[in-house]
Amino acid sequence: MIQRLNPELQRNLWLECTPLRLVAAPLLGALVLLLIIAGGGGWQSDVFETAHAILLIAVAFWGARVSADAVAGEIRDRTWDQQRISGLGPMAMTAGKVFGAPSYVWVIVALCLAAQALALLHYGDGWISGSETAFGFASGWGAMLAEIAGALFTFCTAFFLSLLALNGQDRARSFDVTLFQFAAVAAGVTLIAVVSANHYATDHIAVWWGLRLGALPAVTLSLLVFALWAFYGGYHQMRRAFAMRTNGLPWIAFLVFLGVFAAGWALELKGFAALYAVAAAGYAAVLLEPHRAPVYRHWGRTLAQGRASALLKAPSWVYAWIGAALLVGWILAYERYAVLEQLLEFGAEVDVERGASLIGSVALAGLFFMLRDFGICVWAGLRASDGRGLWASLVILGVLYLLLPNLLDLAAGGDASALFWPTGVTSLVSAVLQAAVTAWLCARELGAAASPDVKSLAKTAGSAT
Amino acid sequence: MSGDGGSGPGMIEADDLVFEYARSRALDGASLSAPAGEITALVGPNGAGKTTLMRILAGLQRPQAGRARVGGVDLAQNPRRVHEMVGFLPDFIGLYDALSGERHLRHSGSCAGLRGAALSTRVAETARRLDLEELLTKPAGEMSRGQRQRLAIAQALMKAPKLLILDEPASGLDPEARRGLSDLLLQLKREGATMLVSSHILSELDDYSDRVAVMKAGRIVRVEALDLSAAPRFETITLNLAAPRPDLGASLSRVLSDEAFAEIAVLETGADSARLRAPNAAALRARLLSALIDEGLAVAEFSVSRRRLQDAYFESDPTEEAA
Repeated sequence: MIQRLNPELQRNLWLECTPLRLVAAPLLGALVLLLIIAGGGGWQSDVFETAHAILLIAVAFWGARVSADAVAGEIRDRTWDQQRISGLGPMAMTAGKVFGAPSYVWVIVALCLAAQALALLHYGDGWISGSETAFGFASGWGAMLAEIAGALFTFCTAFFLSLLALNGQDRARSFDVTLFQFAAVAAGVTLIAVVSANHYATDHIAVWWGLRLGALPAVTLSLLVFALWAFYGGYHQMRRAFAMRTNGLPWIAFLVFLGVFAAGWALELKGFAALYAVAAAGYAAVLLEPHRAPVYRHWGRTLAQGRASALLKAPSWVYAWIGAALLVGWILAYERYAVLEQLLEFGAEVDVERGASLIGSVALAGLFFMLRDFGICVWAGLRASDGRGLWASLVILGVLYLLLPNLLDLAAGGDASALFWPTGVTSLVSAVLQAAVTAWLCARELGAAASPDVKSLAKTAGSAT
Repeated sequence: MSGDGGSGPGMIEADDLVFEYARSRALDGASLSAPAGEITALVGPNGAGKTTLMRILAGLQRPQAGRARVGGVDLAQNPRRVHEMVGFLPDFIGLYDALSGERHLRHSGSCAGLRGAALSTRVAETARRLDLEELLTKPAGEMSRGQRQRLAIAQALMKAPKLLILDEPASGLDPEARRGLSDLLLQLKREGATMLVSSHILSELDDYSDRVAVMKAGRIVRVEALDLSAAPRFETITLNLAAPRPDLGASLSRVLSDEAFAEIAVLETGADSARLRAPNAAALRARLLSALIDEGLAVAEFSVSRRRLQDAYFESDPTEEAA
């Protein structure tokens, strides 16, 4: 049996689950359990909640970290190249890393779950039912399932985000790994918040496209489904790391799923919910994915040659932006007056015709601001090819959305935010101009990055068509 | 001789490979053909594109243009198949410091599909073959660089690769470890291994290479089969004077203006020393020494070194010196 173990999982077990560690964890766990029981009183509640807290800390601060570091550590230690050509397939490598890197954290999770099960078996979970004490969960056993789903989601997502950002890089900084770690945790919290924010969730009922679900099963199921997507994303990135052919179809499928998923939880303005989700995914992709001039140039050349394959080889942000544009079209066609209605409910003083036109301007401005932002991320990524583009992009976007509008407001005394936020017709003009400037900067960067040889290659390819 | 010159079926067939980095082109139409069962030395100055070419042939990077086949398998079509048949050793050896030598070998073997008794047998065989038996229980973090090098090669050999690619394998090794590496590669060669080895230290490649491919500015500019039994065509003469002579360069030019010395080239000149590249001929050498003395040069040392690989390298550009 052990001889058939996934070799990458085996290697991780050798490194993570050393005999000393395997003895230490249960001993420490038993000590904590004894201390709580010795405290007397309603120890079952204390055991359950302490185990829950330890589990959350272990998953968020340790498991997410080692999952995000699974490939980053190999890049740092220069073992990644050997792994890529080791003969192990991308699926086995992904599974070995996703389950192997946090294997010791799984041991801790298992111990926490055992402690929680002990508490539940000893006294039943009546002390939880009907109350909000167990972190909003109505059932102790259900909470444990959600904990497992949460751990799985966090590990898969941290691994996927890290591999997405580091694929093709020859450097991996600890600082970046920390970002991927907390991005995964933040994604989990956001997902739980989206599902729980549903109007009926307070009654422990969540409704998705009319389907009524218990709030806890809905959260658990959502975490599991997205964990699967993250695992598949990790596998897709692993194929890329193994120099295998990939295309944008899985990403497009994910964007469609994400849009449908997010819209399902919204009671009204489903198009808006889908737009927010797709835009968020686009921002995450453009910030994390490396931007390399040769890749953009190669894509540009194949696109110019009119090859159909180029349509499926575009950078991820392109699909997200197209998806957002389609959703904006949907909103303007079908949800414009519903938005206006909500604005009027909130006390906006605007007549219907002008309001409907304003919504069109705001939506289009938002789309062009999004294009500008993506352009900024690409430009920063092209200029700083060692992964620093992500941080440069965040700084520039912070300046454009927060610092500059406030500074201009202070200096001119007017409302400068219209130039930087989608608020009306002025915003639309400003957004189009800014997007054009960013596109020019990107084109200039791609041209400047090209060596004379590269430029001649581009010309040759162009003339060949 | 330029071109293929291979004796066996092609293990490596690369045509017009182009690879760009953000601001430079590493490969600019590089083509290389290397037969099975031979060791091909890939030489060239730093930045010539050797590492990029090797990484592409190992299936670690995809070229932007051109085609490459390894063992008859197209890299673009089936990189996984190529990964299975290629062992690659980068210039920096990466190992898991906490894992023992045996666990490294077991991991590599199991990744290659070996299980149970077959895996244990291969581990034992490989350890014996590379003289690693005493290192099997030692963590890699406690090994010397030479030992890590042997372990890394052993790892690559665990999957019985059809092609072994070694990028600057002697880099950072002490002289003893270099000798050991050279012996190991000679042993692998006797066992019929196909290898592509890069280095900018030509002397060490000379010990075991069958062919040399010279690379410059992203292209293979010359491929030549080396005859191990034949004497080198050229030699390097090192000349040291008893006292500095500021006009040494001019004196050498005068001596070499003699038609008999037409094939001799000056590689390097200092105040009291010079290096010349001359045809490997004893009579010519004696005549040159005599002419130098006649010129009034106080010759304190007149030594000769012969390297087959050096010949090939400098024939492509004699003015360029490798380390």
